[in-house]
This record gives sequence, C-alpha cells and structure tokens, in this order.
Amino acid sequence: MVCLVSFLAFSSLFSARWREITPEEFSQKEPKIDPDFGAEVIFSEATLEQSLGESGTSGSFQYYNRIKVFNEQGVEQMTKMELVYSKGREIRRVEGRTVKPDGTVIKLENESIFDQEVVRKGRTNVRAVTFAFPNLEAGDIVELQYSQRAGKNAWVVEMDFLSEFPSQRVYRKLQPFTEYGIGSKILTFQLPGVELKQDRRGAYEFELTNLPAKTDEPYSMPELNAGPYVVLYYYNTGFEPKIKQYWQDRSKELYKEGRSDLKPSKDIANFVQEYTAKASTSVGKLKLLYEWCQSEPTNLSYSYGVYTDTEREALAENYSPQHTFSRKYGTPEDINGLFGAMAKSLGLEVQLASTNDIRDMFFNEGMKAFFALDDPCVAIKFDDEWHFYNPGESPFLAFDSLPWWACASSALVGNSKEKTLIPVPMPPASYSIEERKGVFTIDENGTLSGTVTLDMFGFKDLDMKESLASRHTEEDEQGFIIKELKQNLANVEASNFTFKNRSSRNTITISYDLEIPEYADVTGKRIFLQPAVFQKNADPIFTEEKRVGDLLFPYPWTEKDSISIQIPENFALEEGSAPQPIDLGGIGTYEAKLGMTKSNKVKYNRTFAFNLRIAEKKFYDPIMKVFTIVNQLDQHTLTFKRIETEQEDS
Amino acid sequence: MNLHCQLPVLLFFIVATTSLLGRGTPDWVKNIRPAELPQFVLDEDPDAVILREGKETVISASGVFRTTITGAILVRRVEGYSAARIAVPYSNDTDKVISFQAWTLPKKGKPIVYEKKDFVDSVSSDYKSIATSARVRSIYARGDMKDDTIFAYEAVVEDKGISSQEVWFFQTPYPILKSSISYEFGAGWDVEAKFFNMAPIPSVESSGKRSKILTWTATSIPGVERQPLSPAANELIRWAAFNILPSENSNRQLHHSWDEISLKHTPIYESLAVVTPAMEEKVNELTKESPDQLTTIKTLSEFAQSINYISVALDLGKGGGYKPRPANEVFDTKYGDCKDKTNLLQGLLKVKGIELYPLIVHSGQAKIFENWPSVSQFNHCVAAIKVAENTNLPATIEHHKLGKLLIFDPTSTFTPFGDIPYSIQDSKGIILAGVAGGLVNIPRLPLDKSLVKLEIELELMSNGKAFGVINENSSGQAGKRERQYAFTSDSDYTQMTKDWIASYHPGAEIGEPDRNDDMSTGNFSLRVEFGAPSFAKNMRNVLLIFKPVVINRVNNHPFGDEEREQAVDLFSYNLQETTTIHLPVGFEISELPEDVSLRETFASYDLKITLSENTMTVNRSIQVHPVRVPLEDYPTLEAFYKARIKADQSAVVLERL
Repeated sequence: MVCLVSFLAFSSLFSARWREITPEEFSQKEPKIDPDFGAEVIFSEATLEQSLGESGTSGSFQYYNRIKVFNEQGVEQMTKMELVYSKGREIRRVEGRTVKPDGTVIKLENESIFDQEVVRKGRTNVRAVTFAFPNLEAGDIVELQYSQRAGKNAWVVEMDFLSEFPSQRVYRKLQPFTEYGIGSKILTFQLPGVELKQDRRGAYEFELTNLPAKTDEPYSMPELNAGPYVVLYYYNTGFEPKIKQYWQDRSKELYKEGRSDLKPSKDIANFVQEYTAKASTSVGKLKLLYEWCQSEPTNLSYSYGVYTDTEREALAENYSPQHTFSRKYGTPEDINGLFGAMAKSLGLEVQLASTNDIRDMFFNEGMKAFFALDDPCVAIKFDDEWHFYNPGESPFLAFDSLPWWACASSALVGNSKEKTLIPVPMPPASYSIEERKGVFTIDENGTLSGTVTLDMFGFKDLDMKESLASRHTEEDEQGFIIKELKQNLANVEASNFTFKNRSSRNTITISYDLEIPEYADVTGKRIFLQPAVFQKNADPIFTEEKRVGDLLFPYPWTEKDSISIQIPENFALEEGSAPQPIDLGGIGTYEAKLGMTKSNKVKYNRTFAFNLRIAEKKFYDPIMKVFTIVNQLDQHTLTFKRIETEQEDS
Repeated sequence: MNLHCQLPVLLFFIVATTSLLGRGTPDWVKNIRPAELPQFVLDEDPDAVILREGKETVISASGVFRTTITGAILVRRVEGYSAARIAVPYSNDTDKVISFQAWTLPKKGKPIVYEKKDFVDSVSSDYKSIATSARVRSIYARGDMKDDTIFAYEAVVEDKGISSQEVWFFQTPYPILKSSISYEFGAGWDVEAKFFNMAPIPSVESSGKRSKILTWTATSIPGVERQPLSPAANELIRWAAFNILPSENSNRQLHHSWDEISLKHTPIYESLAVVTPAMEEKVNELTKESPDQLTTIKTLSEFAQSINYISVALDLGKGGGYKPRPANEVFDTKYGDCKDKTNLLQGLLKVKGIELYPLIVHSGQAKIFENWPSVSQFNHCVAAIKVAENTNLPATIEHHKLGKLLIFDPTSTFTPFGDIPYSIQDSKGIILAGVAGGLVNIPRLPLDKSLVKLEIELELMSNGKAFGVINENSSGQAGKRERQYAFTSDSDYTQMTKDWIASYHPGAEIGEPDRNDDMSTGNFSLRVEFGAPSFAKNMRNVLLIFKPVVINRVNNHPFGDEEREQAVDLFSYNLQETTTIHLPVGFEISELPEDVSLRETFASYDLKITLSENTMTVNRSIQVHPVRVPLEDYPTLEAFYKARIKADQSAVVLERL
C-alpha cells in the first residue's frame, strides 16, 4: 500500500531520541508479512535534508529502524551489524538498544561500537562501524539510529525501501536544496498511484506499508524496476531540457556532440576510401569498416593480454576519431566515434545515438531522465531508415545488431530540430539459436561417448563469445563449458575442445569429445536411454512455488538439438514411443522427433523456442508449468532389449 | 655484424633496463632472472615457478623482530598470472609494515616499480568478528603479467609482539628454486628448528656485528597441490617450525612443553572467569530444579551455548587471541567467541563448585604435531568439565590426573550436550588445568553415534506416478548437520528439502516438510510427503522402470578426475535405509537387481531387495569409517565406489501381465 503523507504528520518524529514501543509491538509473536522470516522491520525511517555549500552538496541521512526478532534465525541475522561507508559518507552518532519483551532496555554501549578501516588502497578507503546488539534473544525488539553524510557530490541520490527483512512501514523523506540555477527532480519507480507533492519547505515524503523482503529470484527485473525506489537528482537549469520537450532537447544535444565527435580527418577519409574500395555497396563498405573497428584498434574494455594494467593507465586519452585512428586503441565510445567518422566519410548521414540498458532499468518516454537512455551508439541512415551500430560495445556484436539489453526499447538519435526516438525491436526466438549436435555411441555398460558440436547464433553467439572472452586461459574456457555440463551430469568427461570463429564475422562453433559413464540405466536384459542428452538430469528452471517479482527473460531464444546414438548391435528397440506434442500457449514451441535407423541408431531432434520476454508475476504459474512440462518431456526414455541375433544395416 | 659493433649496444640496453628499476631496487631483484630453468622445473612444466622465497629476521636485544620478506615468482603463461601476488599479515597493536616494495619484470619491455598507492591494506576478520587487530598488506599484480614475467617483492615488518614461534613453508603448489629463512640475534637468544614432512635441514651459521646468523635453505623443491579428500596440508607439504628462545629480559614468550602452556594460560582463564551476583542469580534460577550434578552441567552448558557468537579479536600481537573477555562482560552482552563462551561457562559452573578446564583444540582438518608444543597449532576453545566417574556419555575422556572429563563445545550451537563436533574429534588438545594440564587426545566417537535412518514408503501407480513419504531421523553429528541446515539464517530448509527430493525426482510435488528437533537426544527428524509424476518410466503402458534406491543415489565418486597421488581421508557416514514400495496391480517383476554386499576395511555397503506379494522392500546400509586410505589402496577404494554407484543406480523393470 502506498500513500504520501503530509509533513505535518511527521514533524515531531525525530524530536524524541527513542520513541515509545507500543503494546502491540511488544506482544507480536509472529511475522505479520511473511512467516518464513525470523525478523521483521516494524518501521524503517530515513530522511535527507540537503544543502549546497562552496565545496559541493552537504547533508546527512538520518536513520531510525525498529526491528522485531522472532526466533533464533532472526537472532543470528541481527546479532552482528556492519555499517560500511567510504570517505565523505561517514557514519556518525550510532546508537542502538535491545528491548526485552518486559520492557527492559539494554543500551548498546559506545565502547562496544567499533569503527575500523576495512580496506585502503591509495587515497581510497572503506571503513565500517561494527557492533553486536547486546543480550539479543528471540522475542526482543532492536532499535538503531545513526546518521550518514550524503557526500559532497551527491547530485544523484537513491533511496530504496526494501531490506533483507519484510517491513511493516517504511518512511522516506527527501528535502532537496534550492539554489538559483540548479533544479531538482524526483523520479519514482514502482510507486504506482503516488502523486508527487512538496510540502511548504520543499520536502518530499513517502510512506509504504507491508513490504516484502528483497529477493534474489531467477529472471528478475532490473533493480530499479523490481522494487520501490526514489531517485532525486539535480540539474543545471541553464542546460537541462525542459520537461515538455525533454527528449527533443536531448536529441539536439546529441546532434551537437556528434558534430565534433564524429568528424573524420583526412587520414581517416583516405583510409576509408582505400580500405572500402573492394566493396561495391554502402552497406558492404560499412560492414568492412565495422569489422575493422572491432578488430584493429584495441578496445580498452577487451585489452587483457594486450596491455597490462599499468600500461593501460599510462595511455593518453583520445579526444577525436583521429586520435583513436592513429593511436590504434580506444574506449568503447572512442571506437564508436571512429566508426561514425568513417561512415561519415562515406557520405552517409551519421548521428550519435543513445539506447536503453534493460539490465539497469526500463525506458519509457514519460521518464525525463538522462540515465534512462544512456548507452551511446552510432545511428546511420540509409534506405530512409536509421540503423544502429555499436562496435565499441563488444568486438563480438554482429554488424546488424544492437546488444540484447538495448532491444525492445527505443533509441534517441541526434537531431538539430526535433525529437528522434526510434523503436529498437527485439529479434524473435529464431534469431538467437543454440544448436547442439551430438554423435554418440552407447555401450552395454551404459557409457555414452562421442562428439558434440555447438553452433551459436544471434544473442546466444554474443553471450558465448563474451563468456569466453572473460576467461583468459584455455583451462578456464573449457572449465566454463565443463562446469555447465557437470551441473546435470556430475561424472561427465569432456576433452579435445576446439573453438572456431571468435570474431563478429562468423558465428562461433565449439566442439569437444564427451564421455558419460553410467549415462543409461542398464539392467540384465535392457538398456534405458534418454535421447535428450543435453537435458539429462536437468532441473526445471523454476522450482519455487511462490514468486515475489515480475519476470524478465533477456531475449527470446531457440534450442535445436540433433542427436544420433549408436545402440549396441545385440540390443533392439523394445519400446519406442515419441514424446507427446504439446501446446505452449503461444509463449513458445516444443517439438521432439524420434526415429531409429536400420543400423540401430537413435535419431532424436528437439526444438524448443521461447518467445516471452516480460511477464507479470501473476503469470508465474503457467510459465513455471511450461518449463516443468518441457523438463518432463525431455526425460523421455527408450528401452532396448538384448537379442541373440544381429541387426543389419539396410 | 661483428662483435665489436654489437657489444656497446647490448651494454647500453642492459644499463638502460637496470636504471629503469631505480636506485631503491635491491640487486637481488635486478639479477633475479635465471639464464635457464633447472630440469626438474621443466619436467614439471608449471604455470609459474618461485625463483626465491626468503625471510630474514633480525632480533634486537629487547626482542623486537625486524623481518624482511622477499620473493620472486616467474610467471610462465597466462594460467599462472594469478600467482603474481603477495600478502603480508600483521597485527596493528604490535606490528608495523616498515616498507613494502614490489616489481614486475617483463622479459622484454619496461619494468614496473609499484608505488604506495598500488598496495592494499585490509582488515583480516572472519564472518562474525566485529573488531580485530589482524590486518594484511598486499599487492596483486595479475593485471600486469605477460608470459615470462617475474613478479618480485620485498617487505619489512617490525614486530613488537610476544610470540616466539614461527613457521616456514618450504613447499607450495608451485616449484621453488630456493627457499630460505634466517635469524640474526645477539647474546642471550637462540633459535631451534623442527622439520615436518621433510628431512631436517642443517643450519648454516655466519656472523653479523656482535650477532649470530642461522640460516636454513632448501633448493629445488617440487610443487604440490592437494587433491580432493587428501590429508591435511600440514601433513602433505614440507614445513618447519622455529622456536625463538628469548633472552631473559625480553617479553617474548616461548613454551617448551605442553605442560608449560597449561601452566601459563590457566591463570589467565581463571582470573577472567569473573562471577557477579547477577550471574549467581541466573545460575541458581536455571538450576533450581536440577536433580543431579550432570543436569546442572547440562543446563549451564546449554545456556553458554545459547550465547550469540561474536568475536572481538583485539591485541592479537600481545596474545589477545588466547585471552577471553571477562565472563561477566560476556554474560551481560550475551555474545562472545569460543573462548568467551567457554570462560563464561567456567564462571557459571564455578558457582556450583564444578570444575571446568578450557581445552584448546584445532577445529578442522589438521594434524597436531606433538613434538612441537605450540598454541599456534590450535584455533578453537572448548570445555572439559569434571564429571562423576560413573557418567556414561560418549563425549567423555579419562584424564590420568583430572579424572573423568566431559568435552563440550559451547560454540557448536547445533551439537547436543554429550556429543563432540566432528571437526575436533580424533585430534589433540591442551587442557588448561595448571600443573595437571597438558596435551590430551580427543576421541573419535563410534560410528553408531552418528546415524541417518531413512524410512521411505511409496505407492507406485500403473502409470509410473508414485506418492510417498520420507521419514528421516538423524542422530549425533548427522543430526547436527541437518540442524545446521534447518536453523542457519542463510539457509532455507524447506526449499533445501524440496530441492533434495526434486533432484532425484524432477517435477515432484513436495509437501511442507515437518521437522522435529530434540536436542536432548540429539535426534533431528524430518517427515515429508511427495508425489513424483515420473517416478517410474512408463513404456507404452507395458513396462515400468524405476530405481529402487529412491533418494541419495550416488553417481560420482568424490576423489576428483586427476590421477591419484595422495592418500584419502574419508569422512564418516552411517546410513540405514528401508524403502517399501507398493507395486501396482497387474504387473510382474521382469528384472530385479541382484543383491549387493561390499565389505572393505574402510567401508561397507549392502543393498538387498525382497518381495512379498505386491510389496518390494529395499534395504540399504552404508558405513564409511573416518579413516585414511593409503595411496596403494586407492584402486580398492575406487572400485568400492564404482560398485556402490552401480548398485545405487540399478533399476527394476516391471512388465504388465
């Protein structure tokens, strides 16, 4: 439940050092919100009043939390407290107490509060205030108050509402400073129905009740969209776009930046002319340049093994595409700038653009904040349409693609006159394919052996290449594949790995030899074989019965498996039904085909495509069921019975 | 090109490269790169090789240690880049890192001399510590590595603490060309060395200014990596312990015997076992209905056990790690670490006139070397409580001077009174009991004191579905393990239970687990109902195939994939399992696994299936003894596990009549 409360109602909140604990709070024996938790926040209050001085922003958060501890689990979680802070964000005036059910108060003594440096490197240090609530037992209430400096450069302030425990009431108050030339904005996330109002002193107040604890669920929403959040940020009123024409003004800014950041030099133009001579079309030329930008200058985000840390730190900063071109290294933005400059020298219309990153937050046009569309890329117009390129983001990103986290959203394109927000579609499941081929033999002991070939396409290709690139040794790369296999098949042995096509030009192919002892169940007369080798022993993706948050799948995808298993010649198929076809209700497709060759080989082809990207939690049950059914169908098993006569190949 | 032309260029290059290291760089660093690696290293072909490791300590007349730690590691390939690191631990109450330098020396190109800003200084605390003086200064140069790069370091630490014992490891996962340790000291001081897992190295004596230097050096040491379930590291690798015999006017403390450790430490605990009127009142309140002394001990022990675990580890250089907080303070705050809890219990029992002797032990896998009396071999404190001679509990030992003692670990929240945590069983500890104290053996409790008893009953349907109930009763340390899963804050026991069953029966519908914990008996029981949609594979309604071992089937041995080079230390396991499966009407047994009975000195396994009308009873029992299996017996161990896996995975085939 959400409501805005008036300032007056809480004006006296902090006048008393400790507020009276109500009889109801004392008598509460069990959690009100979630019985699985050992403690519950009765209230959590935080206020921030900011001001502006000569050295920047100032102000402190004031915290007051009251928590009821119900059982030993809660005691263990609450005993040790650690409040971590960095320079400029000092924690002060820590006071705490344990209150027994009979009202006895045990004060947290100052000498039992420690403030120690956790880590220091150069001028950076992190400290922590640590203490233990005294005499804490199940049934107690603990209270904690402290203040924390907001920092000198707190131009963007986030306040969240969720904690590790469910909360009965969470109150947040933000009072921005007012200063000529500086404006402030409040953005709210997951606060439906809240009407933003300031009190007469300019403060915003929020109060939420009955909140769940923070969760860590698979396929969850980005943090800002997952839970209630409030973001306060300041801007220069002279430069900040007006709300009504926010994205139009942002388009203009991008246009201005692009004029200098995408300017080709003579060197660049000469190079482009010579290098693209072999291509006949603009797109062909562009593709050559895109791949050159991904492979030739060293991308400083992918420079492990090229530069050491020290060498990287010593590199001069690039201020123009010419710098990036001549120095042959650059940040992702530098490389995008160089690519844009090269495209410009081809005579194409080129602009800087910004896209959304779904890993941080969703974008909608009503959100007037720069960080909603903050991932830079390059927009190039041909055939009367804008096309987006981001060669700096990843050396593995395909020519015709933005990364998946920018899709199903919008891109803002530089424009001197008008707002240019272009939709960025999400490719369908047929774009991102994981294709697995296995040619195996099963022996009479149930050991499966053979070769595996993986071909990745689309975002599956990108993700695999990125995963491999973050591992710097062959052992790590192979270990990554083996670890995935061992999640389901602990005794799997994989060897003789080959990795082909690691650049963006071609999709990656990985092959390896595989041996899985005791893969099939073997009895005296029979072999029981699950042909879906890659799904053997796999758990369904979702096992929790409850779901707290909405679901977000990174992108739609398709799995295609093609398996061949040679059965021992003295065994014949006893039972050979195929998995039943199923209807996944429009969110995907599943098809499995089984056959036997005359040479006693099992042929199994499986295709699973999942089209869904976002789902509200109320749809969790049917989604969970889809994955459970698919998991059960994958376990389809064939029976082979020992025979005396030999099978012959036709 | 003739030599006359080439030489000046070469000389210039060498001079230029050396000068890049600066004047502060020691000569040993400048000259560290070997012309070639010795054959034993090439044969081993490691990712990195330690060119040198050294520790030189100069002891002042007053007992201040000034130690220079040096080392250089040649990183041969990318897999070894992460070896380019060094961490120097210290205690900020007595120690000071005087200087710390490090260098990266690539085979070609510019060397890197690290600056102060490159070093990290961090607190070195454990999970439940709220304050500590333990810190570590470190540098991690992985990001500056290329193939054939040397990472070298030199640190100087001043130590004004009271410890007079040190250890030095001559062996690491990487081979070492040269490892040495030396002590320089004046009149009144001496140093003696003890070597473990290696032949003693004779010291080389040299002279300093009015001082003597003793140096121990080992060369050409192969690398060693621990394999899964191998013996403790201190039994595998070569290491040495050094006793620094202090002069009379030093505050350094060296204990020459276990008895002496008891003598010195006993008064510390006794003096801090402070009893206040509030404590007395609490003791009397808790024990007012105790019928006998053992009940009193149990009640007070469980009270100490209920105190929250929090560690305040200050003044470690001055021996703070061996000194509890005063018992009254622990009583008031209701939190403390292992020694605090033990000492609190000592105070509480004192009210009732019952003797408690702190017992200093090692929790975890490590061998205690009897021939090196040192508290640094231990990391934990438990209680040894004087009990009546007729006390009949497994957790008791008979001490030749103190009589019958009950061992109790107030820190192990989930170990019931009368049991001993597995992590300290079959080890040694020091009893702090003044002249009567000293080293004692802590027993390994019999296997039958820790048992998992599983009773499973299932109704198998003709379509392959099954509905059943699992009753699991865990006692002793097996119960402690379950309790730990059930009551530790980070674990979700309900979900764990569901995951446990679902891992054997995907898609299973699992009811709410019903658990019952009885700390007085040590029994932890779990009852959970479940329905498995594909318990048996249904083949065209003709065949039903299922595994009669319903749960806890093993499909892989735990000893790793590498060729075995080390002995195996087994963990105890004791399972008795009875599964009753009601078979569907209209089916007959087509195939039934043969009974299996495996008997080895280290373990036994039995699987027996009996049929009675439409009911199948599966009895499985497994006993793994916590023993060391020597390397030569590893094939037998592996064969045992392979046979067990095969039996666990065996299947029953039913055929429709």
